[in-house]
Amino acid sequence: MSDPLPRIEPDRLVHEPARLAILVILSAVEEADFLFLLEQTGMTKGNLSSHTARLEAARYIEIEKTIVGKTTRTVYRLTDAGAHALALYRDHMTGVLELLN
Amino acid sequence: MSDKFDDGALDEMGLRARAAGYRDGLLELFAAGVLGSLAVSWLVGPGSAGILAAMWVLYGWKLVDRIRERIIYPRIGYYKERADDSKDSTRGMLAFIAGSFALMALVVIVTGGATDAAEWRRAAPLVSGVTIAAGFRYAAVRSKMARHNAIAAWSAVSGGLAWWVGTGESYSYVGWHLLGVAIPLAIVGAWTLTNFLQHHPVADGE
Repeated sequence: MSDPLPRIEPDRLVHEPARLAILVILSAVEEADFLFLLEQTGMTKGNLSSHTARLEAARYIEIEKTIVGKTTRTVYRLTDAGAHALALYRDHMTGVLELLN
Repeated sequence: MSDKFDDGALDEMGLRARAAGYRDGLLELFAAGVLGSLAVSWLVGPGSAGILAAMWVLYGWKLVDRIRERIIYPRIGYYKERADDSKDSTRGMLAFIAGSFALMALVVIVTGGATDAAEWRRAAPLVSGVTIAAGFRYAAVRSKMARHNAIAAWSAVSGGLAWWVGTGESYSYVGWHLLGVAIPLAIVGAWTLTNFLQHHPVADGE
């Protein structure tokens, strides 16, 4: 018997709300630093670090450390793969919600 | 952060990040500097004031960048705005500018002054009014901030007022119109920046 509903298998890496927020914010700007992401998401430093590390490992974002004055600035950018994954996820979820409605 | 998928909330989150550059009031202060220096050079004639205006237009944004680096980024973090290279925005701005000249021509023709040079000079503030309004309307579309729409509306209305009370003896009413927009802009910018600094203390480092 065929499955009446398509299998719902969203990208687990993007599906996590904190990581989804990071990707959405980075898709809205060219690049942003750690403090900006912290302010925009309201996460703790430890949480943000671990989520950005997972996104970097998946090559969804790239991280660059620069020195500005006497401080280190960690800058984050969405990669093409990250932008594609985010677009795909949103399409997927919107499709699923339409189907359920 | 909600666990439920909400596409509208995601759009809102992206919009808030994109609008971060409009929260500090520096855009208004920069625009006030440009329009104010242009107004002074317009009213007192080119010369030192003209050089000041040109310098502000050329280097003012670099000054804004340095201020952001020193006092804004340590509070809310560093971000670089995504460049808007959409053809729709360029077309929209060009249409607004062309429309402002068309409006001036229409007003002059309708009031029966097409052959009178004074009537064309009198209607010139309509061009500055609509052009500045277009700029702030564009800012409002990106920032979704009501104050940008209010500035756009004030620019258009004050341009109309300058035309209404103008005599057409010279182009000086364009200068008065620019000043009439620059002063409220400076007040709004200074108030917004003060408010922003009060509500955003310098954050701990990374």
